[in-house]
Amino acid sequence: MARGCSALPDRGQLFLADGILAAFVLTSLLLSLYGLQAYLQREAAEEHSRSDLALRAWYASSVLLGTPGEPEEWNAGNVSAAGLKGGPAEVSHEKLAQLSLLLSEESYAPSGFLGPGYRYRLSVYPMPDAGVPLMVAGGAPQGDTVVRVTRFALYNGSRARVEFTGWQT
Amino acid sequence: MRRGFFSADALIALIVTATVALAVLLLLRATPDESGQEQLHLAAVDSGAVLEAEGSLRLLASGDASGVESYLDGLPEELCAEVALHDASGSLVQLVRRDGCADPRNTTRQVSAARRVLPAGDTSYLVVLMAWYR
Repeated sequence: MARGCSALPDRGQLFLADGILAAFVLTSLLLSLYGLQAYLQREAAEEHSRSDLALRAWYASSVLLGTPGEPEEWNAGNVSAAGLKGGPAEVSHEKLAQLSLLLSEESYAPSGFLGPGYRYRLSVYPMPDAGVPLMVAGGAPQGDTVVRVTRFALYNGSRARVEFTGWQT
Repeated sequence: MRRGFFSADALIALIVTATVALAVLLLLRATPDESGQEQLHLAAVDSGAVLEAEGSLRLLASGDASGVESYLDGLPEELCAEVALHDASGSLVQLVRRDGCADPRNTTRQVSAARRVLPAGDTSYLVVLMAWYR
């Protein structure tokens, strides 16, 4: 028997124990990496979806709170563009009430302000916050991807926190 | 000598690999939160608009800080803010910070600032509003 073969067992075997262990460790490593990559990809997709929604919510809240709408004294019957600005930094109670009416109608365009497949709700809270909203327009948020944008304004002459909640339907 | 299931070298390599993988994962998850920064900016901008619209900034320019103080105290608990009033030469005239909030210049947290010009008779003030999380 050659010297180099002296360490081999008498009976033949397909793999050495080290080889099996190495294959096991390598397979585990590959599976872990695959799992990690899938996890990161899922996280990235969720983050992208969330960022996209957040961006829509910021713009939508800015448009709603920063413009008076079209026509300026619009109501649920004649609106062509919804806006809630009643004066400098002021949210108009009347316009918010009209928006609330519109948002309760499933088919009306302002309910799709964030784009197709999205919905939003506006809640006005007093400052300091007493926990109970002064006014709410829109339904309850649904789904996993929900973003909230907090704005500050005057409402009926008093300081108010306006919470804009957007979600994907 | 009987060999263990793993050699010491392999165990160390495994621990190092796991540590590096965990660190990378944590770093990836700890990327700066852009939505938080944007939210702070909106808070600073909105606060300036509200304080100006209700007349609290004018009162601050005349030395009465009560309106600004009560506004800052009414902000959500997690939010800190300060209002600094500078005269036309850039000198600091008034500085009002929310009670219980540290100087934002000494923090490593995200801070957002908004500036607006406040006309007052024949002069004007520069108002700098800063917002950050506790």
